[in-house]
Order: sequence, then C-alpha cells, then structure tokens
Amino acid sequence: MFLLLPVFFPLAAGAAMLLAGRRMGKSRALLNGFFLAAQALETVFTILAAALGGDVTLLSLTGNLTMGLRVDGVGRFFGVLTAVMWFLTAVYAVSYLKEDGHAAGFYGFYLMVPGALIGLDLAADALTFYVFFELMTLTSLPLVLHERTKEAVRAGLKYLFYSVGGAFLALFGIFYLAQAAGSLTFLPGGYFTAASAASAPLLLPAALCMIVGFGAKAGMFPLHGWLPVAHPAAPAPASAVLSGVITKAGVLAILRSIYDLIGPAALRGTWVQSAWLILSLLTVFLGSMLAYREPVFKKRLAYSTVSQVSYVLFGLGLMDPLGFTGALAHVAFHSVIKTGLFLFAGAVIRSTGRTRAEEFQGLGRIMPVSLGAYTAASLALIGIPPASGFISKWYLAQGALASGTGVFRYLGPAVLLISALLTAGYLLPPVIAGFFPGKEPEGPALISGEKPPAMMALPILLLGAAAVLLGCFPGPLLGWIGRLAEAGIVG
Amino acid sequence: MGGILLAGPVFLPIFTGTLLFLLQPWITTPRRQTLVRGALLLLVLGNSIWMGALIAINGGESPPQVLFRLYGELTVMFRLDRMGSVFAGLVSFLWPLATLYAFSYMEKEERRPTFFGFYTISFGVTLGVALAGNLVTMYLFYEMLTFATFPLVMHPMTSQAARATRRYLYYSIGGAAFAFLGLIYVLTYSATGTTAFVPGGMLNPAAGGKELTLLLYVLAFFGFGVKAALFPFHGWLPKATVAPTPVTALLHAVAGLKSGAFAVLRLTYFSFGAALLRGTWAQWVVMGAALVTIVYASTMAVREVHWKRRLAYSTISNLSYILFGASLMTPAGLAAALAHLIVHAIMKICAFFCAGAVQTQTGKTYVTELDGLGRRMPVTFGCFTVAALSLMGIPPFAGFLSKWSLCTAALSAASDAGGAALPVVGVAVILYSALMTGIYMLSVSVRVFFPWRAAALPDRRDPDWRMLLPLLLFAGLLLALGLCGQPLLAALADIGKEAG
Repeated sequence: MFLLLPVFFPLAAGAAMLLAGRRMGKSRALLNGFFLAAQALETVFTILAAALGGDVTLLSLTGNLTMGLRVDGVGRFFGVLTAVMWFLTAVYAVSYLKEDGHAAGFYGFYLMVPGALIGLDLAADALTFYVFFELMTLTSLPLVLHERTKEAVRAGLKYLFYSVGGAFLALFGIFYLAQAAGSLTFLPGGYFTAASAASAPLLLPAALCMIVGFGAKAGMFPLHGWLPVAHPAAPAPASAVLSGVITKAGVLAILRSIYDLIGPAALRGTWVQSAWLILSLLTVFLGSMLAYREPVFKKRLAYSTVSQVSYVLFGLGLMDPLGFTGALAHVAFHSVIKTGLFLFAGAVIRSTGRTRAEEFQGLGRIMPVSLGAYTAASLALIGIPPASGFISKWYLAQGALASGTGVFRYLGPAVLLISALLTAGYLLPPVIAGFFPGKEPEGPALISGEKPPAMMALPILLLGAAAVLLGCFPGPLLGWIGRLAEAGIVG
Repeated sequence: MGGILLAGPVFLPIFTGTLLFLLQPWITTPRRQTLVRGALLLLVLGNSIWMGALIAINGGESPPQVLFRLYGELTVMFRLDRMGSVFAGLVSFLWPLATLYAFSYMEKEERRPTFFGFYTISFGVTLGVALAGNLVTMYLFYEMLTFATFPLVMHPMTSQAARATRRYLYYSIGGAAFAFLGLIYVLTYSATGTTAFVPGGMLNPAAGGKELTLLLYVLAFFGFGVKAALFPFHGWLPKATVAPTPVTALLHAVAGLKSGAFAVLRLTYFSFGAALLRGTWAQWVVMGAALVTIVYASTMAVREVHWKRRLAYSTISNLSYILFGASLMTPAGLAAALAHLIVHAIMKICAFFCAGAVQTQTGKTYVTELDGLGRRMPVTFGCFTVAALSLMGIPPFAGFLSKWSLCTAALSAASDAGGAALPVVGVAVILYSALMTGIYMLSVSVRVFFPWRAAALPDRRDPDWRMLLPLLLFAGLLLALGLCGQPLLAALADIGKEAG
C-alpha cells in the first residue's frame, strides 16, 4: 500500500496548494516552505517506494483486465530520476518565481505532476498507464499556460491537442491488444513472438500507432510540432522539467508498449521497426538542424530536446541489448543535462533579460559559475569524453552496429555523428561569446546584469557537475541498466 | 391490475401536464406559484419513484399488459423488459433533477405553466417509448413525443424559434413515415403474427424476400435515425437549440434523441433480429451512415462558436456512437450501445446545464465571450470540465467505459466477421472524434480558467442551488460510474447476450 503514497500524496498536496494558495499568498515564506517541504517529502516517498518494492491492485475490471501499481526495474529507474530532477528544479523555481504574484497556481500544478509521473513509472498495466498519461497532460498543461500571454495560451492549446491526439492514436493499440493479447498487464518480453504475431493481423499497424502516438510526447516526428512552441512558452523551471522529465514519459510509454506488451520478438525485422528507426533518425537530424538555425535560446534548447530524445527512441528501436542500454543511459544523461541547460537559460533571463543566443557577450563576467556548468553540460551533450553523453552515444552506436537491422547499422551512427557536430554548433557559441567577448565586440553591447542568487546557481552547478561525473564513473549505472536490458530483451 | 400499475408512470405525467394547462388561470399569486411548483416536483419525483419501484420489484421484467386493442393485431401493449428498464430508469432519474433545474432557469420567462405542462407530458411519453411492448405502441409514443415537444422548441415565440420548430416537425414526421413502412412490413411478415418484441427478432426470415427485408430495414433505420440526428437528417437539431436550455438538455440530448436511438435498438435486435442482418449490405450501409455522422458532426462542432449549437453537434456525433454500436449486430455491440446511451445522457445533460447556467447568470451564448468566467463560476465550469473529460473518454470518467466497450465490441466484431474492415475503421473514427471532442470541449475549459492576464475578469457568480445540485450530482456520478461501473457493464452484457 505504500506505493499509493508517492502517487496520491502529490496530487493531494497540489490540490491543497491550489485551494489554500490564495490565503497563503500573503506570506510568501509560508507558501515556499509548504511547497519545498511537500516536494521533499514526495522525493523521499518515491525513493522509499523504489527501495521497498511491492505491488498493489487498484481495480479489477472485467475478467483478466486489472489496474494496479507495481515496482519493477524500469519503474525504479524512471521514478528515482523523476523525483530527483523534480526536487532540484523546485528549489530553483522558488527563487525564479520570487516576483511572480501567481506563484501559488504554478506551485500547485507543479506539485501535482509528479503524482501522475510516478503513477506512470509504477503502472503495472497499460490501462493504469493510460490513466496517468492523460493525467500528466492535464496537470502539466497549466505550467505551459502559466504566463497567460496570448502566445502561452496558444502554445498550451497546441500542447494539449497534440498530446491528446497522440494518446488517442496510441489508445487504438491498447484497444487492439486488449482483444488480441487478452490482457494488458505488463509482461517482460511481451505477449507475442514472431510466430504468434502472424495470428493477429492488425498487430503491426497497432504497434505503429502506439509508437507514433506516444512518440508525440517524446517529440518524435511527425507529431513533434508542439514541443518547440510549448517548452519555451513556459517559465524556465517548467521548461526544464517538460524537456528533461516529461518527454521521457513518451519514451517510457513506447518502451512499455513494445518491450512489455507486444514483445520485441514480434517486431524485429518488420516494416514497423524500419519505420520506427527512420522516424527517429529523421527526428534526430531535423531537431539538430532546426536547433542550429534557431536564434532564440530557449527555443534552440527545445529543438535540441526534439533531437536528443529521438536518440533514445532510436536506441529502443534497435531491439538490441547494447542499444537498449545506451537508450536508458541517454534518458538519465539527457534528463540531467537538459534540465541544467534550461535552468541556465532561465537564470540568464532573470539576471540580464537576454533571450537570444548571440547576445550573450561577456556573460562570463556576471555568472562565471553558471556558465561554467553550462559549458560542462554542453560538452556532455555533444558527447565529448569523459563526459556522460559520450558513454550513452557509444553504446547507441555499438548497439546499432551489433543489431541486425541492415542499412541502419551504418546509417544510425552516421546520423548520430552529424547530429553531434550540429550540437556543438548550437551549444558552444554562447560559451565562446560569454567567456571571450573580444576587445571590441561587434553587434550587441556587452551584457550587464546581476549575479543569479545561490538557489538558482546551485541546481545548475549540481546538474553540470553530474553531467560530467556520471560519465567519469558510469559503472554502477550501466551495470544496473545492463541487467534491465537483459530482462527487457530476453524476457 | 398489473396493467394499470405499469401504465401509471406513463399516464400520470400526461394527466399532470394537462391539469397544469387547466390550472393556468388560477396561478396568479406568488404563493400559488410556489404551491404548484412544489406539487409538480413532488408528482414528478413520485412518478420516478413509482417507475423505479416497478423496475426494482419486478427485477426489470414483467408479463405483457394489453391496454387496449385498436384493430386486429394493432394493440397498445406495455411490457417491462430489461432493456426498457435501462431506458426508463435513466429517464426517471434525470427528469426530477431537470425539473428542479428548469424552475431556476425559467424564473424570468413568460408562460411558465404551458412550458411545464408540455415538459411534464413529455416525461410520460418518453416512458411510453421505453415501456412499449410492441412496435405499434412504440411507434405511437414516438409520434406523440414529436407533438409533445414541439411547443417547447416554440417556447421563445421568436421567428427563429418558429423556423426551428417547423424544421423539427418536418424532419420528425418525415422520418416517422419511413419508420411506418418498417412497422407495416414487420406486422405483415412477423413469425408470431404480432409486433410484440422478441429478443433476437420475430421476423419470419423466409417471407418477403431477403433483399426487400434488408431494404425495409435500412429505410426504417433511417426513419427512426432522424430523431437520433443521423446524417444527412440531422439539420433540425442545431437549429432547435433556440429552445430554453432545460429542453435542449433533456429532450434533445436525452429523451428525444435517445428515443430515436432506443427505437433503432428495438428495431434491430427485437424486431428484425441481428442474426438476419449480420454481414449483409444493410449492415454496412447503416454502419457507414453512423460513421459519416460521427466524423461530420464532430468536425462541425469544432467550427461552431455558438456554445449550445456546438454541444448540439457533439450530441449528433455521440448519438451515432450508439447507432454504430447498434450496427455491429453483436451482443457486445448492443451492450456497448446501451452503455453509451446511459453515459452520454449524463454527461451531455451536465454540459448543457452548464451552458444554461452561464446563459442565465451572464447572458453569454458564444464560446468566445467566456474568457475568465471559470474564475468567477468555478463550480459550474468544474462540472463542465468533468463532462468534457468524460465525453473525450479520459479515464477514470464514465465516458471511457462506454468508449472502451464500443471499441472492443467493434474489434471483436471485425475479427468474428473474418477481418471486416468497417468496424476497425469505426474504431479509428471514434478516436478521431475523441480528439475533436478534446478540441471543442477543452478549448472552452482552457479559455474560462486561463484567460490572458490582460483581460478584465467579469463579475459573476455561480447560480443558485437548484442549478448547482443537478450539476454536482451529474459530475459526481460520472466519476463514480467511471470508477465502479463494472456491475453496470456486466448487466448490460447480459441484456446483449439475450437479444444478440
């Protein structure tokens, strides 16, 4: 029963914050205190639930359809990652929203989302998963809407419609599997083998529906259009978790559908696998290219997310243990890095008011520590050893070469390499301009502003350090993921 | 004696409504008004309890009771069966609440006794459709429903209302004419010699010729389908939203349209028989028509900015969900159609009542005028959002259950029919419609709760308890049904098994 706590406590805490926030609004210290305490408790609950394990049945629908929660390896991995990122960003949010009169509304929904996310991570079956998937969309929507400018409302609606549309596309797959497999409970290795897939004529289209539909949340082409609009429209802490954590819910959804429901054996070598790999590689390239051309810094980071999350999807699509390991490692690393990058972008806006990447001349004089952390995170994302991104990309490339996927064995690593070059191209210019503005800068004047407060700088520093250190000491993490990969692929 | 008991809930409201017309000159002082109002509510409530008791005591089934004989086999006969109990129970549950709401809504309107007179008569007539034991009786009450409800559409007495009423009459009567052909055919070729409903159908498959049977079925389907707003005969419904909201909510979203859908279910599963129709061209024609309606109406709803008309288009598309379930011609299809019939009634009446509450409180009727109202009327729009999520089919709200039943029924029908494509297309259509529902419903919710910061908030309040009570009850029921609706689905599955 302890499992219910990390799922329902944040929902209750968030609702309480929304109801009482207006009254607490007078005393900012009380509001912030409640917010951070609730968030810290949620993190503790999640880690405890991951450590204790267990399972619980919530509802029993007709026959063999049940709804429940259960702790497994993948759930532990995503759950702990979510809780830690969420807490770090919460600390930052308190400082970021200091001047915001409507902070209580933001806090309320910010508290609720992890309830939905942990519900996703611990869901034992596709129905429970679907419930929390929709709940995640609905609770995270107000974060995008928070600024309530015309632009933010438009972005929020776009986010809503893409997410809901994607979820309904995926729901077709769930309906079909309920009928064809007879059960929706997640089963490592899935319900179908290459032989039994032949008896289910719509299995392959249903699988593609699930990949494309859930892929909307992960920003995969062709349903990626909302991401570069919605992520930058939100306040920086929300952009950070949207990019760093919530896109991973789409990854988890695809992982669960393919590895724990349909079964990789049924898809290996089919046209669905080819379509999946083509879509993910296309997104990798497209995202990097658009990021490279984008001058507005937060938008650039959002395009970067489009590209990087599809690295993960490519790794999953290979259906190979090495690729799977690389994919999950990239989930963790990208989450750390991208959260850090967005928090940095927010700090720049708060300190200097600058939003365009080419206007960062002399930023290093104002916020040297944060810019240093940004540099470290950028190098990690590009994939320069020994920083973390190198490890995951290494595994992804190894996985591609080892997999029997024909032309993708070479095409995949090539696209990843090109994308890495583009990543360097879009992340490093702010570093150069910030640290080495030159004697007489052309274009925009040298930047001026105040040092960011410690509560903002500290999370950025921690994430930047983690981005490098996780790459230096990857052993335990990779070992754990490796075991998950064995279980997921072999069943 | 049993006959009187069974006919009571049908005739008591008709009698009460008529009495209300006669009392009209007497209701002059506020005191008498309150008295009449209280008496009316008690009578309606009492009638519902009577109906509920009949269902509970007889376990949803009773022997047929012939009331009187028109001519030969043309008998007016009531009979309670489980499918009728579902519809009668639903209507009896909703009517007192809608009456309560109407008291508050109609506070400032003229000619209230006339309005409530016809409103109450419609209650009895709708129960007549539900309790009808044969096709003749059902047809009779189906026609009466048209005539009992058109004065309600006419109520605002504007030229717009007159045009809408005329259209409503033409469509309904025209549709009934086609249904009449079906009635005659069934009467002529019935294996039992009567039109009394038999689970699984009573048509003699040998008589009349297969092609002619199918043709007549299609005609009758479209005939009854007019009331269920089947494309291309849906045009009267969006126009008819000029009527006061209690009418649009209850008669158009529940009683009237559901009578059409209910009649189609009776026609398909209890007269012609699903086995006779399964796999024929007739099945694909009616299923195709339902699917076209779903796509067309949910797309139109997105384009429509008049709030009640938007909900009317949404009703059209959702009624065709029910017809799609009916056209699957399987036990699971019938069960799913009944599930959506119940769930849609609750969520659509909830949505319409929210629109009505806003109209009485603020006078606003267009979606574009609602910015920021959710901050001032949080209960109303909270209930609206629950109805919206349920309509979209988001778990854990009840709409998900019926959508789930429909889609799984369609997929198993497809695999039973050796991979027929149309039911699978139907699932895709329902999911497309769900996305459209998300767009046309949730864009309202976002607009009312998250206005642009620059916009000034209007100064309005939630309506009084007579409006809020039904709203909260419906919203709570949607959640409760969604969480523990399994017994209901199981009961409906039993009805399906019997009649499929």
